[in-house]
Amino acid sequence: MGKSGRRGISVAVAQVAILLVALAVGLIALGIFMRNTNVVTASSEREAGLQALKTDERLTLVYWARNGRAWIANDGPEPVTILQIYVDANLAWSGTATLGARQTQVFNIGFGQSLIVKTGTGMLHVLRREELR
Amino acid sequence: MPSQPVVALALVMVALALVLIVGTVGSTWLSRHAEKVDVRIGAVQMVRALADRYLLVVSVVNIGSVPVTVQTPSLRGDGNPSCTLLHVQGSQTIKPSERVEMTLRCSPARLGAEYLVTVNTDRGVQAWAKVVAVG
Repeated sequence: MGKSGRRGISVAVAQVAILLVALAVGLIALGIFMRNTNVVTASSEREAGLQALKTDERLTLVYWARNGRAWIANDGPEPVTILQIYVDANLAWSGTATLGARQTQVFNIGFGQSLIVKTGTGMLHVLRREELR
Repeated sequence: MPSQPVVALALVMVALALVLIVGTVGSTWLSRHAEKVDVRIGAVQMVRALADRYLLVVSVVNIGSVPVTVQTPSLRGDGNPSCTLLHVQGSQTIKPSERVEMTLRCSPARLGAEYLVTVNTDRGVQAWAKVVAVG
């Protein structure tokens, strides 16, 4: 009677212990899963950042006068925001100029051999480069 | 006393389970409240402007939980080009989940060569990316 009674208690304690161990293993697995989920999210964000470079912006230098006035046109279907203009690798203009589709705008930037425009998407557009001899 | 080893084993298992539970909960709580310092180069582009002078645009994103101040990016590779910062879009002290875009002039560089862009921060972490100089 005493023996069977003691055995019953120990089995119950053992079951509780197994339950707790299972709970602990579950918590650890959950922790590992959540860490992996964060890594996947971070990778997606990075991919999105790289994808942002692939835009359909089309800018054209219509005319660049010797007096430093440049006519820049947006030939694409979407509005483009020009943030900076570089002449001969020097910053010639900075600000915010949004060109609608098929719209042209004049910028006073000085004259040089190469003209590069940076847009709101972070893209650099080479509109003119020095003539190679 | 045949049940004593079983009880002892059960107690050991309970103690082990408690340690595991407290450890897991504790580490999860600490990781949530700990400062995470991390930056990443979101986008990088290197375009030839004039002769061997190239424009380099580097976008740095703060993916940590505290503000980080980034230094001017440096370039390593063919010809060991040196860079001059021309323009900064945003603040070089980047808040969490925000970004800064820096435009630099680097020379001498070579068309088609691959360069390593490195950005250091005041917190000691570093971000890097490879870029190819395009025409």
